[in-house]
Amino acid sequence: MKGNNARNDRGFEGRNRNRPAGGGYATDDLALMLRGVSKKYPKFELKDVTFSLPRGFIMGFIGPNGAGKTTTIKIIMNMVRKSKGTVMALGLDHILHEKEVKRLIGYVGEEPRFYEEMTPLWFERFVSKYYPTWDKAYFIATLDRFGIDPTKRVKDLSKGMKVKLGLALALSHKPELLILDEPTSGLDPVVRRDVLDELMSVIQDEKRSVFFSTHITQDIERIADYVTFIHQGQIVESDVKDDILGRWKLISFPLPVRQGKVQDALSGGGWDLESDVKEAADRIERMLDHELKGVFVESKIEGLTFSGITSAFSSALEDKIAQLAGNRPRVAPVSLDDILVAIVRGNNA
Amino acid sequence: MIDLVYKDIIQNRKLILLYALLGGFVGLVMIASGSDGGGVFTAYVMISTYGFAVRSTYDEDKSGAYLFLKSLPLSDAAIVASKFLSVLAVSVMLVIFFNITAVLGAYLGASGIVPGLGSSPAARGALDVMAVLRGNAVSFAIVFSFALIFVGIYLLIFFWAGFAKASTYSRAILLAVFVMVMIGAGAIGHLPAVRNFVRFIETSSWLPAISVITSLGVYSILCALCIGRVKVKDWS
Repeated sequence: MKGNNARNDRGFEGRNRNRPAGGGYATDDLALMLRGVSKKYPKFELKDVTFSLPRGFIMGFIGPNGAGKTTTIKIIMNMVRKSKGTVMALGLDHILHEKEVKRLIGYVGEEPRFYEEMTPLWFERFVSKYYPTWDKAYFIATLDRFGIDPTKRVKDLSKGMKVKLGLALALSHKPELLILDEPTSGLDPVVRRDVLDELMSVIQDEKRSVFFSTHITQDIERIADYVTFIHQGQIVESDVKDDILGRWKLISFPLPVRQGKVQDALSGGGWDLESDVKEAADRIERMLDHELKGVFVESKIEGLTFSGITSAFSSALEDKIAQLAGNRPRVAPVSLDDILVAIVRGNNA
Repeated sequence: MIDLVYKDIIQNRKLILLYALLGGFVGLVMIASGSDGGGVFTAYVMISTYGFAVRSTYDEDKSGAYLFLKSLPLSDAAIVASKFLSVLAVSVMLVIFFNITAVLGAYLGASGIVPGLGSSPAARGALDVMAVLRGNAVSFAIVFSFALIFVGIYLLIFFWAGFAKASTYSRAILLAVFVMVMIGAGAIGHLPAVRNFVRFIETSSWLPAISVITSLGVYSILCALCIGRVKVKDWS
């Protein structure tokens, strides 16, 4: 079973390393495959979105507000029509086999949409007719676990309760692929934890795949195997989470200010520290423009220290920086949150 | 698809019951007291059919529930056709109900059970149910047909441009039709040709069937146009 290792250690130890996301998988082995998907609006464009999620894994879909996460998900669900490209869900074209695909997918939207006057029990009766695999006992048990009164009208439920109801409805037909569009957005920490805990319990099923969009990266850090970053309608990164965290590093080193002059300055000798730091900073800028062009997504010089986030860390890069800067750089891990911020700032700079 | 029609009816059951009670009561009293019921029926069918369509689309629009339906394994055609079918089903139900009350009103008029209700055309002797229905058939069929086409246009605008525009434009169309009929009746209603045409309509035996069949055809075409539109529409 492909998902075994991922589920057990959530770290892909010894598996999938250095493998591009979805690489080496046949279409049938993919829970989700998007190729060159585009959508043009007057003020926004989704451009050439391409990524894959193998069956049995969880992918976090991260991006700032307005990046195109919801549009991508709505395209997958055929709620928004793509301008071009291919979308395959569980080996089936999402439009040619729309009904079959949706029978296999559980979807929770950004804002749960329900008939406000109806009750969870009514929804159970209504929705269950469309799914041969519907499990009523599971639905009732989930409502109970979430503390939702099945006879209460939806309009009397809080936003958190509506999200939980949406999740219960999406899970009760035992979907092979769960698509969640920012399900924890706007929820208080307690409800958010409840929702994530429920997700954690259902994703223990190794055959189930989850595609989970959010801008709260902590949620992804907890549960995702794969991560895809989207910004301004374009995919910036899509890979195994640990590979991404292995490639993205914070590199810092002291500016190469000439030591002799520092000594002069410390012993009271005349030295214009400001101009010497400026000279060192200029040298770094030139390095960034030439030898290290495009290496750092975001960088800054603060005081006597350069720091930058790279998406292409390797020991060769570390050696090259040591040689150019005259100092061994300090390499620190970054969080998905840092990566998201670097992507946004880097693109907006 | 039948599930979706059932859903629409269940969701709007209170409104349907209200229309049924209102129409039934007014129709019964009007017919039993001697009116032919045509004017009441016109207003009733227009209000109930249009009212149901507006209410049920308003609910969908307000809750954004079409996105919920789109997440289910349902085709676009089923979602659209079910709305057309539920409006048709409810209007037919209400028309049948109105006719039942018309017959009941005629019976009350004929039987003298309710004092003072004896001037109905059907009151001249024993109750002839078919005569009552035949007497109303032409005007009922034409009004029903007009209501059906009008609501079909409303749904077309709804699926094309959304609830707000459908609601605004349909009211404008209704008002324009009303004004045209009023002005037209005043301006040319006395002309012999018009009078002959009206008489021809009233006495025609095939017109009810033709008008209903035509309106159902137009209604189906409008439904097909909506399905075509929804297939390329973005739901948000």
